[in-house]
Amino acid sequence: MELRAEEITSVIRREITDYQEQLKMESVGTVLTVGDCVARIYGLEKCKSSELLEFEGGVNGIALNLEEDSVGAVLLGESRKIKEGQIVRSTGQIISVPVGDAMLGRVVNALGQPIDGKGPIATDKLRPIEINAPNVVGRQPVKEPLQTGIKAIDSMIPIGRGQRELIIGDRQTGKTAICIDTIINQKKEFDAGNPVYCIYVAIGQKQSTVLRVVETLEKYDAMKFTIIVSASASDAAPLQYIAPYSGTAMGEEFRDTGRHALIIYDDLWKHAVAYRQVSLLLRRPPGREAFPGDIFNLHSRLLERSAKLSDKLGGGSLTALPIVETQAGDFSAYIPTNVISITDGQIYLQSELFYAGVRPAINAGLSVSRVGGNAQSKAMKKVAGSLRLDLAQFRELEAFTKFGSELDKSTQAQINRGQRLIEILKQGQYEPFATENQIAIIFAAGQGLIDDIPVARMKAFEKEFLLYLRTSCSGVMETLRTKKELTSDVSEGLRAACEAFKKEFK
Amino acid sequence: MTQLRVTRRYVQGVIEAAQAEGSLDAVEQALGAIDKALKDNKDLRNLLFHPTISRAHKKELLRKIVGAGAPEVVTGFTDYVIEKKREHIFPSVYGQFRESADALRGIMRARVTAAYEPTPEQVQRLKTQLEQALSKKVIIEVKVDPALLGGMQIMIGTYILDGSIAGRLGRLSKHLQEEVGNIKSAA
Repeated sequence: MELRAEEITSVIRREITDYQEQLKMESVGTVLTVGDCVARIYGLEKCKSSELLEFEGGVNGIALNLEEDSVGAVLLGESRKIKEGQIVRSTGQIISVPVGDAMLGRVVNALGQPIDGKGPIATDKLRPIEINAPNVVGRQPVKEPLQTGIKAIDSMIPIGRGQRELIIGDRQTGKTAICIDTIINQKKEFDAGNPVYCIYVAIGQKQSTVLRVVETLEKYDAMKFTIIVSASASDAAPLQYIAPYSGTAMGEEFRDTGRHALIIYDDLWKHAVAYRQVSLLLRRPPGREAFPGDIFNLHSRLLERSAKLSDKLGGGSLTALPIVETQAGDFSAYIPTNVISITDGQIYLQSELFYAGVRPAINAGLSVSRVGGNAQSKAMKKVAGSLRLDLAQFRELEAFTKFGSELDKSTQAQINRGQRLIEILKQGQYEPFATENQIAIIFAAGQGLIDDIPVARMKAFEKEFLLYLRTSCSGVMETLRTKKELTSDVSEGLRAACEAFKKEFK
Repeated sequence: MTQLRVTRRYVQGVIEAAQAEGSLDAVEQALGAIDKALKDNKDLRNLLFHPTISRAHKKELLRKIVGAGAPEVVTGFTDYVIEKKREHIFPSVYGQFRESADALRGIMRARVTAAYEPTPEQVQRLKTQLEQALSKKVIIEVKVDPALLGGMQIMIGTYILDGSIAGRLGRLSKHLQEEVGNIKSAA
């Protein structure tokens, strides 16, 4: 609907003639000092913690420190505009961001304002960025799978809707890539009319990185169900601090209306650093690694809001994939251990594996999913059951591979199997696999049906085998897709297809 | 912030001493004189805060400012503050003292900012109204600021009652912006 200028004029005229206001006493404060995105304010007697404050000149702030005769606040805007002696008003509200379907496909800042140059966002729904997580009664166990489309994850470290799964690793190990692939894989669900809305929160990232993510998602047509919240490295620390909470508020809108959403925090290490900066400037006492004492609560209250709601509340879910970057593989630093203990499992990425060509560079031994198992389909559970064990045995024997012929037959066989399993778990970027394809290929490798294919030719085999299955065995694949069970018919069908194809392949 | 806390402690001491002596007004006057001298005179500030000037010298200086007739509480206070090397509290002492003394006397100060100089009757009327509303004695300090366009702003402590035209226009503009935003999103 187009809005005409006369209509706006008439509305404004009506508003002005009807406008009445009651004078009332307001509690105000005056700015004592300002600088580095924090301000100290005298007065504001009735101010509450984390209340939204209004400064002169339209800048907003959040009251964080309530002291005997002053209030310490962080500024969500340019601190240059604020001067000593200016009047500060408290609003009695917590800062809110716009939410709703109109946000999809947009890039917004930490306050929910569009920064993609596509004009204003038409939504009148607001949600406070800090609310309590759903309580025990309002939840139910994680039971539906969230398919990432990545073979190694969906088989061994399954993620369920409502789960919080940490992705942890050094820089340049493919942490963001896993998340982007997961978003791209949700396109199938979206097209099938059962969407998982995605929110990607970039905290302290380079603007160029955020742009690349947006472009990738646009290229794979995944922006239409995605919101990007960006508090880049050049934004003030308070904006980086509130960005994940804003993103979660947008996700909760989907969760609380009985839909499913996925939120990615990229990354919480930088979020902690931004909060550390704010805390130190507010003169809160530093603790370990100079982080403030409430850094654990900062992340736990954020991640607790990701949940699977009970059917009474609509059964919606919010799944979280927080990312934490480690420094030189130090998983026992403060923030990584904190977030590991909060989340329902973690995916370890290792640079050694990455450079050895195992991509995604997931360390299957250290990665776990504490609740996702219940969400895995029966067929996947069956084929993946032995996968972990085989890989663990392979890793033990891996050191012996150098000795080659001196090994006995069974050891040799185990090493052979392991090498092929590693090979099929490799996967290119932006190439999500459908669940039935994952099951078929893992079944073939796990059952030893392809032990006689040379390791170097595994990739080609996989590609052509899947093509063969789609064209010549569509019946079996269809049953697998719809029933999601590995009945004896299906497994016999897969076995026969594999044997038949192997003859063609050679 | 520590400075304000220090000032408050010292001032509490002076107030109690002055009250016991019954010389609250005289002490207030003397402290006002120091405050004024410090505000008007940059050299005096530099001298008082200078670390190499001897304490005896600084004490003598302040005695001269408050004059010979000042109550002993005041000279005792200034001497003690200098002895304790807390000279930097002097600029905030008077304001703090007045605030505490006003509270003791049951007086509230209303800072009124108006667009035009109000007539004495207007001030009187405002005073009676405020006294009725607050059931306390009110002292009115008037300031003129043409930027308010019309009406007035009354500030009592950390509370503000904004009846100025500028303030009302600001609120109206905010209200309209919100309304237009709502219309746009409804469209």
